[in-house]
Amino acid sequence: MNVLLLGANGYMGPHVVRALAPDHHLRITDIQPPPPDVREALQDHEFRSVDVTDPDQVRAAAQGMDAIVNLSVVRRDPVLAFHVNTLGCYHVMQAAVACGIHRVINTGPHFTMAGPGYENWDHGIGPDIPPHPGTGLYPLSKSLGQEICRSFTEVHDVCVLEYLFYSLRDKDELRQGAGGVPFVVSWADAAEAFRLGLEIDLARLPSKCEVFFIFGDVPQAKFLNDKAKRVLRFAPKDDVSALWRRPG
Amino acid sequence: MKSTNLSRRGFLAGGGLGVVGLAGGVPAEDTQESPDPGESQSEGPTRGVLITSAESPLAGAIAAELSRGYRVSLTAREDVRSDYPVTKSELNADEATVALVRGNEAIVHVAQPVVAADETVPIDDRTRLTYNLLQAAKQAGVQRLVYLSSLELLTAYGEEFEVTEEWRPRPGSEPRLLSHYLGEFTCREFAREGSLSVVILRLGKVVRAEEAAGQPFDPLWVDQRDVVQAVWLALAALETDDGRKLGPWSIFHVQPDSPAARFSVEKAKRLLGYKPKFNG
Repeated sequence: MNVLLLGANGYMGPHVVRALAPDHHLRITDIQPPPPDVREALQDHEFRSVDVTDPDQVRAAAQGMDAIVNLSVVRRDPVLAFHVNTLGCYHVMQAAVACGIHRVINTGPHFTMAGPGYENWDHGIGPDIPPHPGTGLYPLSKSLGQEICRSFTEVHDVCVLEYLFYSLRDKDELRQGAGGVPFVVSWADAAEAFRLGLEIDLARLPSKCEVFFIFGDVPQAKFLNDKAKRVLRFAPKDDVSALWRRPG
Repeated sequence: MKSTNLSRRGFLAGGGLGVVGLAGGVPAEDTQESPDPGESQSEGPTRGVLITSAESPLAGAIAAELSRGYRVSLTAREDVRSDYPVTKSELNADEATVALVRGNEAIVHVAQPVVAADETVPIDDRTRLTYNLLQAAKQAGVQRLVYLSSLELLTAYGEEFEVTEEWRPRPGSEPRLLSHYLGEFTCREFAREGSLSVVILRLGKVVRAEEAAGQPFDPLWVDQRDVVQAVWLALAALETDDGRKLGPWSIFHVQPDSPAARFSVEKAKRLLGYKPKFNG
């Protein structure tokens, strides 16, 4: 499959690239150039500079692709957060429709859906809830982007898998008793979810826009990852529950 | 199907009657029936209302009417001449926007995007700028917001349905319409966290009845003077509500009270006391 990766040189991108490169042809893009060693190691793949805030650049990058993975994000800048997280999604979906791409994986933080109105109150929070991001710049601008994606799927032949994350750790950081938020996944398991998202038969999705909480098997049941397991067949390998095990 | 010719004539006839006695937008008898904004006219109004998008004729009409009970100011992104104070502002995320809203008890966010070739400008204006405005309102202690949105969010539903405020918006992917929905979404999160109370007024296509004469009837038409009335009533209801009737978040459809209109205004009539004068 030809896959366009947007925002691929951030924290998540290199892990996703490693997971997808063996099976797919990747067009790896970002506003930042990739490290030389990455470019050297992935000579069979394409590298481009693409600014997700520029619709023409996004559309040109989408030409000839079968799927788009949008990893772009801005968290703090009050202008760019909206231009990347919100308008960027519009550009991605517009490009997908224009180029006949039926599969988009969009990404964001857990509070794209489950902001403080859920997180401060509830347990058993799954991804199929009305979005309540709250008023933080990052969650709200991402949630608006997600709403744009959803609206496009209602009127166009395109499917969106929305992957939401919270805490990501290297495997060697999953130390016994270290603690953390109850929505944590290793980078390797997170990246594997993207491989599954490109493999899944879109007809198996319950709808054309599905949200997935991507995290490992934590013991708290504050949030639920069962949908990712059931629909994507996500099977996290790294034991994140160790974070809450008592030493001894 | 509705009879468009008859409906059109009815709309204009209603408008013709309604024009008589209008002063600044709202029939005097209506405003007297509305909750008193609580100001002595002889002492001058003290409660401040900021109106955005001063460039738009609708904002001007709203300002003229609200000035009968409020200390009105406007903001615009361009130079605008007005009978009321106008502050030019880009509504950026900065202290200038906080200063702009400070001292007002309410904001009427007309949310009219600037005219631009870029089709996504309405999305940016109705998300980012609304966000900046509401963050500033939160910081400055502004308590109430009336946000003007569009009934076109619901036209994707079949005309055989009686579509009310309870129905989920279906904006599709066209940026202008999508931007209305995203603007509402942004406001809703501020209301949900309790920062301020919000009334969303979803408007039909705003016209003046006499100017619509001779044009093909549109079941989304709503007269500007009825919109102004709805804004007045929404502000008054928010002031006196204490969260009992409206709560922190409520949506009202604003159309003529007519079978020819695309959407019902029963909720606005019931909870706001809306009495449109330009009916088909």
